[in-house]
Amino acid sequence: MNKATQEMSTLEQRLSRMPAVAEGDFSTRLALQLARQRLRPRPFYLLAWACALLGVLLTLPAAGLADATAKFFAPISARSELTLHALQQTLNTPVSTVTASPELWLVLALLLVLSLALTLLNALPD
Amino acid sequence: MQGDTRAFGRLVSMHQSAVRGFALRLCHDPALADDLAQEAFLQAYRKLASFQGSGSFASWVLGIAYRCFLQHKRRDKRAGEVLHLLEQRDAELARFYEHISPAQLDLERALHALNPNEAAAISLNMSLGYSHAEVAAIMDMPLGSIKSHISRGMAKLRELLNAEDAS
Repeated sequence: MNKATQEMSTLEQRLSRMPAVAEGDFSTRLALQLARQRLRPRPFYLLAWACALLGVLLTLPAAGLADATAKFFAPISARSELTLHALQQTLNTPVSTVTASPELWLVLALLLVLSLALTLLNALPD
Repeated sequence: MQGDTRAFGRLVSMHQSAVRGFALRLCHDPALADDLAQEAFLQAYRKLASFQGSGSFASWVLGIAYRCFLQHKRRDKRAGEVLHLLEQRDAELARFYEHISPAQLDLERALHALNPNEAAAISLNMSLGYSHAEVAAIMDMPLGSIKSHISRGMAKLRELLNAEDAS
């Protein structure tokens, strides 16, 4: 084997032994970046939160907010059939009897907290 | 989803050394190499569904890392320049690797003297064991270009290492 060939094979041997890299905090930093990425809004979570918020709006008794929200989502045909008298009656009547039930607020609050906790737990790395 | 994260974590553990070492040979800066490797793994996680399995997962991530480096180089024209003192760089290199012999450190220093394409092609072919065709796919370059980069890079390495041995 001539000198050039010998040098080449030695160099190739050295190149083939790529030194291992010290892991350090690389995996930890990557895991945190992955968690941040997963916490970013996703359509499913946005929809879930929107539904939860809508549920709260529908049962809020304050200033006719529940009535306004229910009327917004009422079918167009139902709205068009309302006479002025019927409209007045509707405005004076609570949208739902559950509006008078304060226990539902607690249930809704618990559902909101649970939804938030599940979102965070799902996003955190193992 | 949690199972996917666990499996992805295992893939990171298996391949982080190769990807980070490859990134270091491209950019010559341990901190930047880690940033590039991190970005490569994050992109791989986001695009996991698009991985078709035509090559290995490692070769796919290495390709992403190479493209991350090119994007960084386009944004920062000074990427690849070694701006700090030789002694400081050697100390950083020694800390970056688990165990590195003086001879291996000389080789890593010599690799830093190559241009990124040569260093990338040699690392992928000689150090990580990919064929010329696989290297061409990872770097998205013609096969002939890859062979040229390897040939020129090896000639430069031989010259540098012989000069070091002689001094």
